[in-house]
Amino acid sequence: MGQEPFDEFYLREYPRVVGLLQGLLRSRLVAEELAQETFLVAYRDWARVGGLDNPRAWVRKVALNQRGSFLRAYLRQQTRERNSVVQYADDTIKLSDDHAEVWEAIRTLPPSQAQVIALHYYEDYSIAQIAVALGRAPGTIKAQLHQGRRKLARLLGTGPDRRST
Amino acid sequence: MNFYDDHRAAETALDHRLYAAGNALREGSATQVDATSALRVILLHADPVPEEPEQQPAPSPSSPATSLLRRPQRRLVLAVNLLLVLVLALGVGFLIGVQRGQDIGGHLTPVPTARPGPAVPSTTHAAVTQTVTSVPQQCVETAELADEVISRLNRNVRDERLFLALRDYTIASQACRRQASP
Repeated sequence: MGQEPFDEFYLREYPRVVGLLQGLLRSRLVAEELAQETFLVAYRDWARVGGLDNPRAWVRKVALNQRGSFLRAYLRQQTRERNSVVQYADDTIKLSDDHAEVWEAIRTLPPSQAQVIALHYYEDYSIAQIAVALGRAPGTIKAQLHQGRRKLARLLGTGPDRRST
Repeated sequence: MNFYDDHRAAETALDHRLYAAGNALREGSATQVDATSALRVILLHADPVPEEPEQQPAPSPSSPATSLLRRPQRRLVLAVNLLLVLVLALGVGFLIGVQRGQDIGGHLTPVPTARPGPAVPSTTHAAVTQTVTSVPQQCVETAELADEVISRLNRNVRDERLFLALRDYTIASQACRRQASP
């Protein structure tokens, strides 16, 4: 099977990766910046990346793993640029209050758990797929998913001990 | 309902809520994120790494080497050449200026700053080429702001920060001109 053209891959995957990063970071501007950086890496090496078994997983792995360094660089740049960071009310993908509350809770989780939760519920990835995408053992992913869900149940008030009925 | 049923129901409710939030964000990103413009930025401003030599067709011996370069690479080579010519011209111009200054000033050394040198004899003072070695702070700031504006335009970040940077640039630029003009 031939390699998929970069632009087709990009048009399909870019919004998804932006959504994933926005779910974990809140800021859409930062999410778009990081997604763009990630796809730039893919574009420059598309001859190799496009030929991988699963370029989708590769892009997500790069986006999530390099999120920290990109974010630090981004914030450094903002500081250098005369502290002109402006927080906008509309710097997010619009969601209903209930869904926004869920993502807000996910963002309070430790990064490894938040990544697993996001890939599972946003990308519909199975535990095996998450393990491949993040380069961790399936057992670790299972444990992180369990711990993340338990914390979310507490945060969102959907745990058995918090239910009113 | 016993504890286990209660627990299972809570787990299911949490699952539903998480999947619903995931779907909502996915749909939101699909409808609200403009991938086409972002793709244009990548294609315009980034050059892909050239493919491995064995994957490229072998060049014919008669074809010139430049024909192997892609269009953006050719543009880059042209820009570098132009830059080199400009630097060379500036260097030559500077040397000629220094030489003329020395010729006119005779044995006198040129004054290093823009300030008038009181010790220089009045007969040769007017013709000596003066070199300005200090730049007003406003001009330095103007250059920094211009860098910032260019950086934002390159990254297609056209939001309020670009507007603020442009506004600051305009103010700094006017201040620079006021400071620099006699």
